[in-house]
Order: sequence, then structure tokens, then C-alpha cells
Amino acid sequence: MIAVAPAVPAPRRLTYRQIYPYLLIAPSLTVFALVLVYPFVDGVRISFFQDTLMSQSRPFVGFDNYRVVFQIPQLGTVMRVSLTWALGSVVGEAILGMVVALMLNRAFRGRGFFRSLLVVPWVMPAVVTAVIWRWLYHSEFGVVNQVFGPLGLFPDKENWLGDPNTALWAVMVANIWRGFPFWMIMILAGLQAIEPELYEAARVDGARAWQLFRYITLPNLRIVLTITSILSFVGNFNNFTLVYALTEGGPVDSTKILPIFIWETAFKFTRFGEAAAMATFFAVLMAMLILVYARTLRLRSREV
Amino acid sequence: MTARLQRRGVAWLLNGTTVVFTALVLFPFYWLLASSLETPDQLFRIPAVLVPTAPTFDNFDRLLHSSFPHWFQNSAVIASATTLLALTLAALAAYSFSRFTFRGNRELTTMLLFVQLFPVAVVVIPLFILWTNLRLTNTYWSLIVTYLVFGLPISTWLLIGFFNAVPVELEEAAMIDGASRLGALWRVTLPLCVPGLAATAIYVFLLAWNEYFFALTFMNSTDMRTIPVGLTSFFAEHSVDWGLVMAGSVVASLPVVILFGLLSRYFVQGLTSGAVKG
Amino acid sequence: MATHASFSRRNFLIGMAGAATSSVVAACGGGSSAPAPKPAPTAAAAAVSTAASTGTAGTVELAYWSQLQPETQRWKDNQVVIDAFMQANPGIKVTTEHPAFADFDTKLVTAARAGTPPDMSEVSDSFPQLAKGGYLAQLDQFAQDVKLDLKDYYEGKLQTCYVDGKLWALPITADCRGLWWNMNLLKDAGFDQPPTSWDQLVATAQKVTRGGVYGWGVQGGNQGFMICEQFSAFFIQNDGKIISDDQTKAMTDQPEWITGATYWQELTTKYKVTQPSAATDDQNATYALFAQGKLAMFPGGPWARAEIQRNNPNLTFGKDFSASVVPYPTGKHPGTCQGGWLHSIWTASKVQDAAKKLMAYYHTPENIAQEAANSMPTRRSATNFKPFNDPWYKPFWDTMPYALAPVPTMAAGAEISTTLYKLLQSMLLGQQTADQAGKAFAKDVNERILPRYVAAGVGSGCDCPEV
Repeated sequence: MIAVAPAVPAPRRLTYRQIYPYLLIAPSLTVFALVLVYPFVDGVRISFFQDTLMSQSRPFVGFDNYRVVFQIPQLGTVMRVSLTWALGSVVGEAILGMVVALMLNRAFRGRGFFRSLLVVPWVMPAVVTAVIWRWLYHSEFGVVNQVFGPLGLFPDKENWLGDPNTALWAVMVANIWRGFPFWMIMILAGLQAIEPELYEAARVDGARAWQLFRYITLPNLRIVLTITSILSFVGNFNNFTLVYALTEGGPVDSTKILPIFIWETAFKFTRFGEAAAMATFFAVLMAMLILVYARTLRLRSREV
Repeated sequence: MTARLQRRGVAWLLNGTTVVFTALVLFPFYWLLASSLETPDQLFRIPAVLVPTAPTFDNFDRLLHSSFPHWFQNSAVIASATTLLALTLAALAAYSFSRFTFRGNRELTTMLLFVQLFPVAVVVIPLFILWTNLRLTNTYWSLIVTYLVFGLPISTWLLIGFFNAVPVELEEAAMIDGASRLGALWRVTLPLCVPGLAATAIYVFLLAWNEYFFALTFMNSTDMRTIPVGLTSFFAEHSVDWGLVMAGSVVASLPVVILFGLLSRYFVQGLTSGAVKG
Repeated sequence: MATHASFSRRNFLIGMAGAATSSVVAACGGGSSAPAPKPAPTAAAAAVSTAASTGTAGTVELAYWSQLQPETQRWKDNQVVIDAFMQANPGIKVTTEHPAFADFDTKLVTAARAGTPPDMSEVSDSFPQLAKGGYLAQLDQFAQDVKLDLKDYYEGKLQTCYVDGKLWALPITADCRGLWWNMNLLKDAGFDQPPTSWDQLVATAQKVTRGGVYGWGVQGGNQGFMICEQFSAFFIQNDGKIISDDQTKAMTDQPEWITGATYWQELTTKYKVTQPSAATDDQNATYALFAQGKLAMFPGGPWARAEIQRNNPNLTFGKDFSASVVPYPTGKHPGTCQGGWLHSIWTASKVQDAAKKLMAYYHTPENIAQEAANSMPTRRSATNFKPFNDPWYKPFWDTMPYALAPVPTMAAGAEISTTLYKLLQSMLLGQQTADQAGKAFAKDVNERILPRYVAAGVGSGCDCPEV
């Protein structure tokens, strides 16, 4: 990295050289400010006003919207469902992604071919995924019941997406199917960056497979795993389209994750102020969680 | 001898598992393909039939005569434009982060991850008002710029890693020979970072191609819809044209599947060099 | 040094990029130069636009939004009316947009909030909020001016166009439900006639349900259809109500409602005559199951005939399947939900006169019959025209006078409906009895939902005129 140094010792005026780096990022920052920061700030602003479709006056109401939001009885359910959904998806995708990445990390013919095939679930549009899985899960026309029915593992003709006991898991399976390739690819990339000599040396010393995994693979994947888990958690937590297209949050709120709840408050009940309050609160909460998470991992890596 | 046989056995087992697993993962996509070749009444058979008995391209034929080709064009143009712009802006920004240390570097890098923190449902109305004021609703630009923003953070982050890996000396050599900084970037650094560019391109293209909510909100006319929104319009209040839905879903998926199939090697390579080396 | 040359070249490049971007933006924006975000329109949207007559030179453009997709027959029926209107009014050009059914409310709400609504559109669940918020034009004066015979409209539907005693929309389709029954399946079970009473319905359904065939189809997968299609018939027949007529309290703790709700629930939980996928099947799945011979009976509107036919062209109406009145308790009267669509004129429209002309044109009996050909008309006199003068419609005309909207038109309606849907799902799954559900719902609505709307001064009481 080149440190920007003025040719003449400390001139008072900004030299072109000094602002040059900022010029390079200016277009990105402008677009960012326009499309993200401005609506974000406006969203936060709306949360302090009474903003519904039912009246065109929008008076300032301070923290009223927040108060109302926290008194909504459904909120507890929504949080529980959202956390289960996000954490469950992340863990499922991580484990599956790791296993597959390890399987694909060996050199064998056609490895690239399989890797390309396994990425298919991730690249399809969410609405297409929803169409497919709605059909697969249908109690009469669906393939899942056709396969599992004879096995006798589950109740006959289970209505996967319509039974509150199974709906969330069913939706999560579809989500994990969709999301694991991302983990697989990231971990594969990380695995390929580990020098084989490390493994050789350890094998010479008599290390077993699981020891290799625990003491060489995992530590070296730390960066990749941290970044991927943050991206995956945020992405899953805020994922709207798939669940909406599969169940619209039902049945009986069993899949009502926060993004759907917010959408419902804004576009069905037309209570924009309250929706904005919900969104702001959870955005702030998540930001703090992520900071804590990232910082903890960074601290720990320094100890190693 | 037995050790080698054992390793062979393990290899076979792993290969077999890989094949079976891949087949399972791909099954839903296969089912989609099969369904798209069936007429609606064949689709509704109980029990579901896995291999179409009388495959027909009727659905695709009807798809071509619906508004779907418009939607395909819209999605293609928007996704391509977004990708090109994202590559450009991200390259510039990443170059800046990589080659210079300046105030705000670390904070900006951290901000990259907080892009998706705000739920779409709340961001969409202020953004819609913004585009309305700029008179960009129902145009490609409203979506291109929006997707650009969501794709920039990862793109920049990926490319930073790549640029870090390219020795500065190469650029300096080019500049001594008379190239400008950007010229050196274009002629020396970027060619060495093709995997990273490919990774970025794929990621952004996917984002733009698959997105639903903004596309729904910013586009009004039937002709300006993107594919995901268009697919939803096949679901009417009292009837669903399943043939069109299936065929449309297949056509919606094929380009990105093929694109990724071709470029996934670069994607992995891109992440290897870029992401991991940090 | 290289920097001098690079400086100017770089500057040049950056300048070009900036110019290119802004020129492209300008081109797409249709002429606006340096775009700077203007403050969002506030009072402009609220004020009733002063009547803009058909402009000086050239045509007036009228934007009309419908959730019907352009390739569908139902829209083509509408297009006939619109084309005829444009012929009769050469100065007015009607352009249409067609947000998808599933997204229609989202689009309307967004457009209203952002100040970019159409001139005229169909309206859906968000209608009461839009009316309350002043986004829609009041139509009482208009109805008087064009001497619209409001008494000709089915009251059950017309009532839903009133908010706070004023008229904000006119119905373009109204509908009720009939009982669709599979003649072959019933004949095999020993029934020549469809059931006409609650007891007969249970008996018939029970005898038919066997071996993968189910007697009674439930559409639980879609909120609107669950509440309207499915559930409402029985409590309406029993004179029960969800919300009192003056919109001040819930009435689901009353015996009339509970009886109707219990009957509906027990078909699934006690008599077990419904299909297992009931909780997720929407109306389209029901048509498919019926057409495949997996369902013997289900409640549906007249459009089901075409849909069943489409799902299985081998079926013949009158020979394989038919429609009759939805069974009602002996001694009471028929009744089902009142569905259908309204359309309104938006106050932000600058061409309200033209919109009113279109509205008046739409609402003649002939044109109503034309555009609602694949649904049901909103005016009694429209039943004199094709296709409604066909005798197969009789069960529907018999039911229409008794068809009511399950939840009245009120600002709290969206929240009430969503809460009700959750309730119905839990009843369908056997999680609570109708009695428990009704009482819990009444409590929730009376104590939590209604006060928030009344307190905010939004929507209580409908001075619906006697029609």
C-alpha cells in the first residue's frame, strides 16, 4: 500500500494527490448515499411520526410508535420465529456447505462439473424456488409425501406448509437447499488457500482425520467462516421473498418472520410509522450484535 | 497394499456420495424441467409422475407469445447494465482502498457489511418517492442504480483482496513508462484480476436478475416488468396458468444456471485469491 | 512528470463520465436537467384537484389500473367496454396498467403514499384506508348527477362502498357462492340430488369421503378466499355477524356466529370430510382437485365452471358436475359471502371529469353485464343480458339477495381480517373450538384493535343509507 505523501512538506491546501483516493470512491459513495443512506435515514425519520394511509397529516409523535410496537402481542412469536429461522438456516447451510466442500476438496475427475451443478439451487430466483417447493410439499400432488409416505416416518399425507408444527421446518429446508452452495463455495475457496504442507506435516506426526480438521482446517478457515456467517445471518434474517412466496407467514403465524411482519404492517395495515419503528429497532439491534460478534472473533484470533 | 485399497475404497465411497448428493440436490430442478414439458392436467396427477409421459413444448410456445419475452429483455438489460456499472465503480473504489491509506478507510470497510440491515419493506417507500421525484420510475435506471448499491459492498470487498495481491511495483513500472494511474489499473492490474472480476460479475448479475420487491415497486407497466414480477402475474385471482408458470420458471433459471456453470471456476478462484487472503 | 498529463486526462474522463450520466438520466427522465431531490409532494395529493376539463388541444389521458391481466378473458371483457368508451369519446385515451393480483394492494398503497396514483382503478382490501385518508373521490354527487339508480345494485355489495356514510366507490363485480358438486361421485354414493340443508351436507359428505376422495373442499391457503369463499356462508345463513353493524364491537362471542362457525369447523375436525391439504389449498388448487375427482363438493363462484372445465376438458356441466345453492339450516335462508371488486376515482387525478365519464359509461346494465361476463354483475337489471339470462345461474341469483360482506368496510378491516384468518386457521387445525376462538377474537378486537382506530379518529360507524 502506498501512503499518500505530499511532495512538499505539509502544505495547507489540499493537494490533488490527497483528494485523489476520494475521487475514486466518490461515484460509489454518491450512489450509496442516494440509494441507501437517504432511504435508511428517511425510514428512521418516519418511525417518529404518525404515518398511516388513513390520514394525510403526519404529526411528530416521538417514541409512540415504538411503544405501540412493543405492546403488540405477536411480537414475541415473530422474534422467536425469526431467530429460529435465521439461526437454523445459517447452521444448516454451514454444516451442509462444510461437508460438501470437504467432499469436493479432493482432486477427482469432474470435480468442477459437480461444483457447478451443486450451485444451481443458489442461482435460481426465489419465486421459482417457491413455486417448486410448494408443489413438492403439497399433500396430494407433491413428491415429498410420495417418497416419505411409504416409509411411514411421518403422518400420512402431511400438509407440510399448512401444519403449524412443520411449516417452519419445511420452509427452512427449502432455504437451506437454496443457501448451502454459498457456504460451499466460500469454504472451498478457503480450503484451497490452505497449504497442503501443513496437512502433510501433521500426517507425518500421526494426526488423525478429525484432528487435521480441528487443528488445521478450522483455524485456517476462521476469516472465511466469520465473514460468511455474518453475511449469511443478515441475509437470512432479512430474507423476505422466499418465505412470503411459500407461506405468506402462515399458518397461524408459524412462519411469520420479521420482514413479513413489517411488510404486513406497512402494506396491509398501512401503518408506515410503526413498520419503520420495527425496522429501525431491529436494524440497530442487529448492527450491535454483528459488531459484538465480529469483535469477539477478532479478539480471539489475536489470542491464537 | 491394504492401506491403498482402503484409500481407494474411501475415495469410491466419497465419489458415490457426491453423485447421489448432487442428484438429490438437483432433483427439484429436474422436477421443474419435467413439469414444464407437461400440460396442466398432466401436472395434477396423483400420484405425481416423475417422468413426463407425453412431453410437449406447448408451454414454451405459449410463453413466447405472452409478454414474457419483454420481461426477459428487461431483466437481461438491467442485470447486464448493473453488472458493468458495479464492476467499474467497485474497481475504482477497491483500487482506492487497496492502494491508499487515508482517513475513513477502516470505517468504510466496516460499513460494507451493513448494507442489508434494513428490511426492504421500509426502505422501499422512501426510495420509491425518490425515484418518483427524479422521474425515474418505470425506467431501467431506477432498478439499475438500486441494485448497484446492494452489489457494491461485496464487489468492492472482493476486489480489494485481489488488488492487494497484485504487487504495486507492476503498476509503478507502467506509470514510469508514461501510463496514468487509471491506465495502469486498466492495463496491468485488472488483467491479473480476471477471476475476481468474474466473481463480482456473477454475484451482481444474480442479485439483479433474481430480485423481486424493488422490481415490483418501481416498475408499473406490464411491458417493463422483470421476470420474477412477471412470473407472479401468471397467478390470477381465479386461475393459475401452471404451464406458463413452469415454462417461465425454467427460462428464468436457465441463463443464470448456464452463466454460473461457465464461470463458477472463476468464482471459486476469485474467492480463493481475493476473499481469503483478506 | 507524468502527473500533468495524467491530471488533465483523468479530469477529462471524470468530467465525461459525469456528463454522460446526467445526460442519460435526463433522457430517461424525459427532460428534467440536473435532477435534485425535491421535497415529497404533501398537500398536492391531499387537495381535491380542481376539475380539469378535456384540455385545450389533443386528447386527455386517463390511467386505469386493474388487477386483471391483459391476456385473460375477464380483462378482454373489460376492454370491450373501454374500447367502446374511447370510440364514443374521441378526446379521451384510456391507458391501463395491470399489477398482479397478489401484488395489487401493495402497488395501490405505495402509489397512494408516494403521491403517484392512477386516475381510476379497481380497489381492494386497502379501500377503507384509502377512503379515510382522502385519496379517493367522493361519488355521492356524481351518482346524483348521472341519475344512477343505486337501488338497482345489490345492497350487500353497495354497502361495502360506503365509509363514514359517504360513497367512495362503485362495485363493478359482485358475487356470491354456490355449491359445486360432482354428480358422478354423489351418484356413486347414492345421491341424485345435492344436499340442501346442513344435515344433508354432512350426511352426503360423509358417504362420499373414502379412498382418497373427500366430500367437502376447503380453501385455507389464501386469506381472502378462506374468509369469503369458505367460511362465511354458514354464519351468514345463521344471521351471525363478525362486527356489529355500527362497527363498534365484535360479535363473534354471540351464539349466532358460534353456531355457524362450529358447523364449518366440524366438517373438518369432527366429520373429517375435507382434504388434508385444506390449510394450504387456495381456490386454484380446489378447482384442480375437484376436476380430478378428488373433491365431491365445494363452495365457489360462477367462474368455477370455466376453471373446472379448463382443468379437465372431459367434464360436462350438467352431466358430470353442477351448481346449486349452498346448503343452509332448515328454517333459515340462503347466504354466502359477498365478494367482488370496486372501482374508484382518485382525488389526485387531474382528469376527474374524464374519469367520471368512464365511470358513468361502465355502470349501465348492459356494460356491467359485458365486463362482468365471467364473474357476476352488480346490478339486478344486468341479469337480463347475456350471459346472465341463462338458467344455470339460478342458484346464484337465489343467493345474491342474502350475500353479505363478512367484515364490514372499515379502516380496521385489514387488521381484523388478518386476525380472523389466523383464527380460522387455528380452528381448521383443531387448535381451538369455535366457541373459544370466537370469544378470544371478540376480546382481542374489542380491547386491542378497535380502540386504536377509534382513538386515532379513523373509522367508526357507517351511516349506510337504506337502499
